[in-house]
Amino acid sequence: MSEHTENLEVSKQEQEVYDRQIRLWGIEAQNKLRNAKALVIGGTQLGAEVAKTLSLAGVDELHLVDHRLVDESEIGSNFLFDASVDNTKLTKWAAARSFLTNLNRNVKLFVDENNFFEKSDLDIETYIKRFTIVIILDQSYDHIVKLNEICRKNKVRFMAGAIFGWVGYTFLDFNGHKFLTKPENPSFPVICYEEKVKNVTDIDDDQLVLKEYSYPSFVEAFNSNFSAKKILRKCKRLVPSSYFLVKSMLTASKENKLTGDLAEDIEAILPIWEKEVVAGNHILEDQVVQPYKFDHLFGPDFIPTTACVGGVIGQEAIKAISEAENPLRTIFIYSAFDSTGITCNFPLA
Amino acid sequence: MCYAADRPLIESGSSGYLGQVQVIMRGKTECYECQEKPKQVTFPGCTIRNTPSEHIHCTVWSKHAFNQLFGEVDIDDDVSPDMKAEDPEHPNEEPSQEEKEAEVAGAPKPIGTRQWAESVEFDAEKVFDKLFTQDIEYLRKMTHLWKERKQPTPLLFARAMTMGKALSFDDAQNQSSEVWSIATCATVFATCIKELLKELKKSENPLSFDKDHQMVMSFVAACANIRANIFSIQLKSLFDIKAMAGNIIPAIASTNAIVAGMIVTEALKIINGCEGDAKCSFTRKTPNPRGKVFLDDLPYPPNPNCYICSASHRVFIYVNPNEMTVQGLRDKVLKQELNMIEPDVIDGNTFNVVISSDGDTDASLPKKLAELSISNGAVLNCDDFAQDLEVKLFIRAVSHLKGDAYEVSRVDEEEKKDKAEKEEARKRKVGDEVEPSEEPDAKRAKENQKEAAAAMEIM
Repeated sequence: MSEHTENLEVSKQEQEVYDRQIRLWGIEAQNKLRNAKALVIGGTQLGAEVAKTLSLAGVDELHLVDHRLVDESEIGSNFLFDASVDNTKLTKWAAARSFLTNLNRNVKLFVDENNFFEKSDLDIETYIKRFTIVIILDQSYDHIVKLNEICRKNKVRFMAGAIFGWVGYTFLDFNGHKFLTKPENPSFPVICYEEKVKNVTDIDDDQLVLKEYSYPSFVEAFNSNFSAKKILRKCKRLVPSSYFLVKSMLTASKENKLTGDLAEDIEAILPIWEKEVVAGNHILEDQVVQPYKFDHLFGPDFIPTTACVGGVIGQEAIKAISEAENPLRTIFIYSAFDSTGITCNFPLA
Repeated sequence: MCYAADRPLIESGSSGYLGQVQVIMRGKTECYECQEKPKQVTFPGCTIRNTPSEHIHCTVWSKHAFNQLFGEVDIDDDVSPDMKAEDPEHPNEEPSQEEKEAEVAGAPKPIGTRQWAESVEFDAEKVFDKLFTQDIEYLRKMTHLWKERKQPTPLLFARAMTMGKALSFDDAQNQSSEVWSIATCATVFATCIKELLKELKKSENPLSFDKDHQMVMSFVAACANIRANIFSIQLKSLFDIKAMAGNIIPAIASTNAIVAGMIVTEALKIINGCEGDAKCSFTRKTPNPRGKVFLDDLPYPPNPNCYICSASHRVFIYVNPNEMTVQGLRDKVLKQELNMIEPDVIDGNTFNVVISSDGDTDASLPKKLAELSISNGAVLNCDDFAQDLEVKLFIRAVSHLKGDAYEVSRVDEEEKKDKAEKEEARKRKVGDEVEPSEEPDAKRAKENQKEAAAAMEIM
């Protein structure tokens, strides 16, 4: 994690702009946001939603990375793009720059049009060290795994996320980071130590405690072993059926099974999905989403899913930066099929 | 309207981290009126005028004071001591003979605060001393109020100016999250009076309270803190008082995005003819025992006691027929509570027209219900052609309510008691699983219970 030498306080003008949210998360959280440097990789619609939330929250620096050009299908569906002009010669974040600039002029925007994963591991490591949080969206399995490992090593807060049509997920890794948390909460296994915090803002509130959370890596979270005896029975309750859809898509990405042809891709997904469902001790016939609906897992992204997943990513990023509130643990999955938004505290143990 | 036109309605809202989306389909789900909405909290007038015990009472009083001085004068918002007031916590304690005499002797000129302020040309010091010295001294004379309470301490402007360091108006603005000293409050008070008077003279209309108007808000905050100090109540910062005075509901982009996403999802299901898949959703701050952050639930079935969508259209209303006027019935019960627009009311027993939307019965508006022989057990048929709504109003007489005060219920008291007991029993069964509900929304509280019950089942 980068050491902030400067520690800027929220000014009177900013206090007025951020009035409604300061009333929610308090001036201390706003000060932390004011000093935060966020990196978002992936200028997709999900990226747009996350960038919007972080910008409105009032981070200090917002670094946006994507080397790809705007696709024609994105004009008119990505709200950051001016739909009245042809943006297809611009890279994704470059096309979004003017909207984001106007959204909140207090935020310093940096658009990086280089191909991030062409950098050497060492360069990536040097680069990410300065960030408070790194968020990678709609990228391949391998890239997520690689970036997650580098961030874990350097103790940089990390989030990944993607939209698969009607379903989307986010993975959170705030390993070793502390959060001001209400003391008693049995559903949260809290590791490490507790430390009384003296300057609690509201005396009426329960005494908040600074807790350090431990998180598994991306690979650990998505490769939970469901076959252990004591886990077998819990699966039905703790593994939502939407998880298998996400996992199948990730596996297909990992194994380079996706071609971009809808019929072929559905064909490729089917056996993976069947295997995953069975491995998760669920029954194929009981799944909410049956194979005839698998076309809903492929583009174009379903905007409401983007809004919901993007909202959660933005919200959790704000929590992580401001070190306040109980953070979600490991994986969150939204499915528009059944309007569910569920956290999976994986790997199961 | 959607109900009348039989069109699906998606109702939603957000407050901080919490959001909710409700799908309303006529005949299939409960309607918007099926659940009783939490009422806006109001405080009894005598608490505001005579015996504030919390800062919010002082804040409400200050808003009234602002209106009295610069805004639309509302007689209900009087800020001077209420001599006739009973002690709300000790209603049976009669003012002593002495006090009564004192009241008569000091016979307060029934002159409006505004008029009085004009007579002294809004001299800040004089207004201050009237509000915070004379009125308070008057209150102290009502000894029955102070038997079990700490007496308020009158405060003179000159004395206030010596209490702590006095910041200028501008400097005080930069300290909006700090608690101002009394001297600062007095300075701000004086500046605001001067500036607000200028503004009042310039504008043709009386000023109105606006939490985002710096002068208005500063005046209310300063006033509230001075009064709080007089009544030995902990002072608060401008920032906090603004939240109380303005009923500010915090809002963040992420929750709004999520709620918007949920709305569109449900809308698409309905448009695509998959109404059966439509869900009601709520967001939570932390996952429930099943890991759910977004709760999904099938829409609740219609409430058989709902006066809008059930066949019965019944509402039970508790009033004091000797006190409530026909106008009160029309404006407070029918228009405010039941959202009627142009109600026509006929007494079901006598077939007398009680209220007519064309104004034929306006002469009886000031009459008490009892004068029209509307008493316990009366059934009023209320009809609103403007929205094709018919409601049967069952009158239940109770003597403890004063004036136009009323209580409304969807079920008869007997049924209600029965239900309450069942509810209580259920709660006890669910026991500790119920999270302390942080949400003001009754709906969410109910949600938490349901969830807890579900959690019990799976464990």
